[in-house]
Amino acid sequence: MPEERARQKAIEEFSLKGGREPAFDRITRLAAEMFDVPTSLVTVLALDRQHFRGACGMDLPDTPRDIAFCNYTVRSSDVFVVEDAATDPRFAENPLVTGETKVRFYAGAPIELGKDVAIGSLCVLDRQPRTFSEDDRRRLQLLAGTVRDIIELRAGSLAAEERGETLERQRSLLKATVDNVQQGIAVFNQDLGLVLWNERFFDLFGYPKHLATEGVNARELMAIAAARGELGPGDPDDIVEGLIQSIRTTRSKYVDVARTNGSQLGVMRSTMPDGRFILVASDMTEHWQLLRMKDEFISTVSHELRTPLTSIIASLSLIERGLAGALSDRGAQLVGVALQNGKRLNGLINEILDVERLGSGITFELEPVELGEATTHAVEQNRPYAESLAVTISQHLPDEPLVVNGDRGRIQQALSNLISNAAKFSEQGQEVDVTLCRMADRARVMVEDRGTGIPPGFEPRLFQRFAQVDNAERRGRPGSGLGLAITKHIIERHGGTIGYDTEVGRGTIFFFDLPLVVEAEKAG
Amino acid sequence: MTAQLQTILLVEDDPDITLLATIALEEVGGYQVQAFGSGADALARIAEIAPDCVILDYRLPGMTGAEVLEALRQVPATKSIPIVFMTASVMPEQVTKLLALGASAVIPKPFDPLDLPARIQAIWNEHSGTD
Repeated sequence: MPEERARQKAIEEFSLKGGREPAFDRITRLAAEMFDVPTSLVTVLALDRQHFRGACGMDLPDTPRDIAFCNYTVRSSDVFVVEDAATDPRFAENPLVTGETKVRFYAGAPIELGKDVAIGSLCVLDRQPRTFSEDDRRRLQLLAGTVRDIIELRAGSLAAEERGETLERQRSLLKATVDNVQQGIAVFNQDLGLVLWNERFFDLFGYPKHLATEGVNARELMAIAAARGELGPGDPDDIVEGLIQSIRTTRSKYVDVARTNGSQLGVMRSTMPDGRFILVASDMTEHWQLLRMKDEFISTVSHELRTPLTSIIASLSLIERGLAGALSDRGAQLVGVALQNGKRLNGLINEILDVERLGSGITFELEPVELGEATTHAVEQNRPYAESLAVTISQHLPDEPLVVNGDRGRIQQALSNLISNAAKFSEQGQEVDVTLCRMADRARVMVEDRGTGIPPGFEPRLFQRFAQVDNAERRGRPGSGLGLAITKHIIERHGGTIGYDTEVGRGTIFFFDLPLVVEAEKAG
Repeated sequence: MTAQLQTILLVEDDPDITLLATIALEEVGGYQVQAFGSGADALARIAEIAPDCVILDYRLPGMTGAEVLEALRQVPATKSIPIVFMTASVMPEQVTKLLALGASAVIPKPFDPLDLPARIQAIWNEHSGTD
């Protein structure tokens, strides 16, 4: 019975079970006086009992549900009246009529909550038969409406109180979170007014403490940093305008801030869909110091290793060329070995430094790069090496130019690494295929050899630094084991992906995908 | 400026590399080399030597290679001749910086001594052609 379920649900929701309440008692007193009857009740119909939440002239707290007059009232949308219960076949045998309470007259107005569910009634009773006029019905209904209003208002204020508590809990959690993160945080509304912040934010920027106030304008804060020259060179007003423009037109932006006190901040700005925005400032001073130290170290190592090597290689070259007099055959052979290995050592130093530099996040010089040209260049670069191994390289280019946004030198380096690897692991007389094609919005380069394939045990280490297959597999062909690590790094830094497919004894295909430049970008 | 590349001024603090570059440039290339171990020593004699081209190491004792370059660009004798860096620290950023400072070219170390004279000649040709 859906109506009964809805009623019990409403009684539950509004916590209406229980004893008498002064507010309801007062209304029943008013009703009793208004209609000149000895008894008035505010009833609530639970499943098995009717509870009297308000009463005047009645001592019972409740009665069994099945004898309640109100069962009729809650089913009618109007006031339900029994003028003489003793003569009404529905109530003549009712214990409320025949028993101690001696009810003869009943008039009840349903108390409806929510979606027209009556949870009980406001009723008036008398021990003698009576009539009930239209005006009486209207008045009783008005009073029942007041009972409903009281119930609803009380529930509303309870809910508001609960919401307030939840809100307060959330607010204090948010504040504790914001106050205890490493980063400086400031949130601004659509009108650039400060709404949420932590002390760290003001400390990092060195803003005066009195500005850490609700509603302070982001423009004012930015102007301080701009005037100090911390947001880069140029007119401070223009810089601030540019930042505001960017806040309004872009989702997010990262800005480096070089404080006049020597600290370096990284500031991430995210604008929410409704126009509010968050600034998160991190102290990057140590990070940049470490990077600088690393760069300095790499530069020093590079210099210290290359200087003696320069002398060794140059001396050997000059001796080999006969500038120190004619060499015996054995002498020429030994000088040749020394020279080869000196050059190999140099290559190794270059690759190790390269890997370190790539790892420390050096910047790439991005420009539109046509992959067909880059591929041709890399193939031509490797042709002499492949020919020395009696391996031929064939390239297959598409008709259309495929342009990516990238660092030309780095992309050629990646291509060249894959091509020289393929040649290195090919047998005499075999062919290496270099194919460039378009795959939807990406360009794919594939380099295929027919060599021995990658040994299964080696696959997990394939892209790791210094990973090399056994010397027997390499057949003595030298390498640093850094080429694929470098290549992967380069491709991923360009937003691309690298992969391979291999079969022992059949060969290997390495491929990488790079996002193509869209037409609009190319034009602009 | 002379019509031909004849005298090359070399500023390099490593005696081994000085020896090797001198052999390469003089014996393979047929040029005359005047070598100095520091920028200050070279600058003291610059007007007198009046070189056709300068090769500078980047890391030098006292004045850095970059400072020597700037000083050389102030001197009439070397104001408009090619000045080439030879450096073992070939970070792309540094190369860009040196070129921006007015270097004509940057040759990485290790250099190929057999190829060095031809490279210097090519740089000199290009520099003279466009000047």
